[in-house]
Amino acid sequence: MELNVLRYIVLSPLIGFLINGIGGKRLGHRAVGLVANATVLISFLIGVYAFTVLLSMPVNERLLTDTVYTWISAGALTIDVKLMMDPLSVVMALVVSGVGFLIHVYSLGYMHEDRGYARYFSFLNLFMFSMLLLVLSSNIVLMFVGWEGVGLCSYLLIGFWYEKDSAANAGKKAFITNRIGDYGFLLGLFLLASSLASKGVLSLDFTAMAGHVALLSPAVLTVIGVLLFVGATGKSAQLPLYVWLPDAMEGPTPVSALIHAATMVTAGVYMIARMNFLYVLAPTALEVVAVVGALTALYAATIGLVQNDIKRVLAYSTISQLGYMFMGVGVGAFSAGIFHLMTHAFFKALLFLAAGSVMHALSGEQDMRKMGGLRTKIPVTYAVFLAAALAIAGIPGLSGFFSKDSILAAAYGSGHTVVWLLGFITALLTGLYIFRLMSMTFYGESRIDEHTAHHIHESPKVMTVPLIILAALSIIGGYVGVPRLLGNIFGWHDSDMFVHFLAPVFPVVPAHKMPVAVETWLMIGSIAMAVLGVFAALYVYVTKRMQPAKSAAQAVPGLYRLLLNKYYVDELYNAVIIRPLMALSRSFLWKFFDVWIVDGTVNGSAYVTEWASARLRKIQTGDFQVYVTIFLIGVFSVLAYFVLR
Amino acid sequence: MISHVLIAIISVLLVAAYLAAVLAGNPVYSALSMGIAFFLTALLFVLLGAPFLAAVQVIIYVGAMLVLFLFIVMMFDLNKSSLTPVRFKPSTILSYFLIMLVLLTGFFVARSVVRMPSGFAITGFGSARNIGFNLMHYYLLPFELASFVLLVGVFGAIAFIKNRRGT
Amino acid sequence: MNYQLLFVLSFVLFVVGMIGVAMRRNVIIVLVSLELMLNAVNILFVSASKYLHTLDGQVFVIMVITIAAAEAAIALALVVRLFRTMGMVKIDDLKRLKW
Repeated sequence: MELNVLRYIVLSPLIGFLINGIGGKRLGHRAVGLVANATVLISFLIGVYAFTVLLSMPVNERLLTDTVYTWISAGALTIDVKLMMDPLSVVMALVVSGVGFLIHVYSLGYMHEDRGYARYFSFLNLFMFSMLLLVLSSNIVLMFVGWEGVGLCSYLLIGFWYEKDSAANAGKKAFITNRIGDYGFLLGLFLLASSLASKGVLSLDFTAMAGHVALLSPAVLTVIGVLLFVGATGKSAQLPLYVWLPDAMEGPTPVSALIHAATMVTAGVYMIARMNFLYVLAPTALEVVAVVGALTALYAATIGLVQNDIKRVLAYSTISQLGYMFMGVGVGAFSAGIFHLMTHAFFKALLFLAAGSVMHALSGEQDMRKMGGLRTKIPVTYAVFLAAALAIAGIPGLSGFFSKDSILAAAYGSGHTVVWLLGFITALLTGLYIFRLMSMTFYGESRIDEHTAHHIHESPKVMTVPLIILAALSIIGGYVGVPRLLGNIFGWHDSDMFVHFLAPVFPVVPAHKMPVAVETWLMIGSIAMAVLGVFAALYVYVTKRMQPAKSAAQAVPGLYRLLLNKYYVDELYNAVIIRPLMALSRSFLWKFFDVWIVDGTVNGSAYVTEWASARLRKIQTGDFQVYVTIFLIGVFSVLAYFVLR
Repeated sequence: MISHVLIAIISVLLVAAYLAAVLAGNPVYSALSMGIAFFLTALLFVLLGAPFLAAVQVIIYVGAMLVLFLFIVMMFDLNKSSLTPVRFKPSTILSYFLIMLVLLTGFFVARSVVRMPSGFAITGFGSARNIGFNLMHYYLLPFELASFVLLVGVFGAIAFIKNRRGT
Repeated sequence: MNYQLLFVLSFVLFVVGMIGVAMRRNVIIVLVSLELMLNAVNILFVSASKYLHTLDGQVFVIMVITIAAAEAAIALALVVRLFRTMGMVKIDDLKRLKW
């Protein structure tokens, strides 16, 4: 069904971007904030409206489209700027615009003092535009536009404080790493388009592709799937391209919350879920996704254990949780992955915003070793942080528990035992690192220096209200998808509404027929792991007031240093890729190619011109009568030619 | 027949006048020779059935342009600017003007030679009326453009002569 | 009437004027030669007009005279200007515009 208001979901933030981007400096803080927030709110409200329209439709016809115009028309291939809203898109659009709106509101307070206020909000609006375009586009090419757009905004916002060297470099790192991933994505896109075209399918619409992708051979599909996943590893910070995300914490904290936790980094998960019709035909590619996701989840969680920067812990936590999502879609449980994406958007955005609130209270301090005992000083922040921490740790009753558990159950149920085991261990580590963070920040004794301690204050309402709303979502957000097992216990039928809602989009996954007992034990196991992690952290850091970092450094110095230095991956990339590239650039591209070929061509042409003109100049006597004579000779020659011919 | 002879004579004189104008060492003589050439041309025009053009030739070329040239030449001290010293012999100047006077009378001789019927100059082949009719009917746009060129020429001349320093 | 003779006359006069333009060094004489060249063309137009029995040639002469008048005005203004600024009327001295 055509629903022409869809375009305004996307256009509204773009208009905000144009207003703030062009006239931001003259508008004043109040107007800039109003425009930026209103446009995103409009998107959200239209999204809600479209959601209600969608709900009123029969389950299997839930698809809204909006063709704006024909974008590319090359021969038989036409690509429209066409938006589409199906259950998957609507979940994404609502999460993006909803969480995005809350973060916009929070930013009003957080960025209030900043000089680049208008610039910040215009970029943020541009990001919302790109992200909404990404999730609503109906073909993969238009989706790629949004994909690149969010990458650009990520770059702009990481390097928002560009006068700081580290921020500018982090922006570049993010952009370049993403380009590497996008290269894979593009190759996949080209291969997909050309192989579809060779079968006579000249459309890159998701719906059209879904019907025809089975024409392709499994080998081609696997290659396409892996290539597209390379793009996803760049955008969603998976192994081996995750390196940019921790550095991206140089950006303003609301940006970290919006782009590098809740929305943009989940684009890879969304993309794979969107291309599910392709991935189910390429089980090998899906296997790669699951394994990479599981490895990333564990890997990032171990690094997160020893980081001392509050935002970096959260960054590694994000990578780890993204690993969970890929694990989910990788084992074929697309709706579980998307479910975790949604709950993660709530609690991880909350964690970042609350961390921002902590930093706000401590005049920008990010080092957890200089925090502690903040529980009573900033109670609201503490309360919401606790809610989010419990949610991410997977404590029963909170959103993270439901989504994480459905992923783990799906992994075990589909026979991916190793993947499940990695996720199972990560569940323990998650509880551990997040409550290590809680302990170092909120419990125990204050290690804050006197000067900063003097200024500690709770954040203003404009920041705490979004925090409270997100906390509420983190707590109750999971109840839309209560696993059937639990639903049955509480006599709540059809409890996993989320899965049902998304069911028309995703292929029918063969039901994981697990005995109820196994499922129950799995659930009890993961609850046990989470609780164990939480209490271990509390015991070590609060009750014993131990300095496990020190003792660990003494006991297993090698392992500790390995973790602290993030497995030396940055150093490895530096040595293996960046150094040789620099050397090549310096010795060949610069010293030889640029100096001799490029400059040589330019200087050579200048030299030849000079040489020739020095000789040709001699004809130019400046004597006009000579010119007249030559001209007349010419005229008479022409005349003679015509007369004597 | 007599007109043919006259045309031949005038042709020879024209070549001579041209040569005199081009080869003259003195710009004053050159300009005066040009005047004679214009007069001869006017005579030729009468013999070729273009009485109106002949009149225009005399009025514009001799009456305006020749005077303009002579005026410019006289305005500046040519001795200072040319390598060869410029000398005027009053007798030579006078003879030039005498030749022109003779040619002016020849104008009427030529009219009688071609035996124009009365009123021919008004309604005949090369009459003002016919040329004017042609100009206004078939050549209106070129005519207007030519007048525009003339206007631009006037402005250009003024712009060149004007002293830019405003002194 | 032998029109060819008149055409030849016009051509001869044109060449004579051309020689003046190309050879003479005095600016005034060059301009005089230029006017004479135009005049030679006028003679050709009038002869052809009589030969073809159309008035077009004579109309064109009017145009030529107009342009010649404009040209003479500009050219003489230039001479005046040159004389004032550089104090000369020699073509040879005009080579300063060379690179």
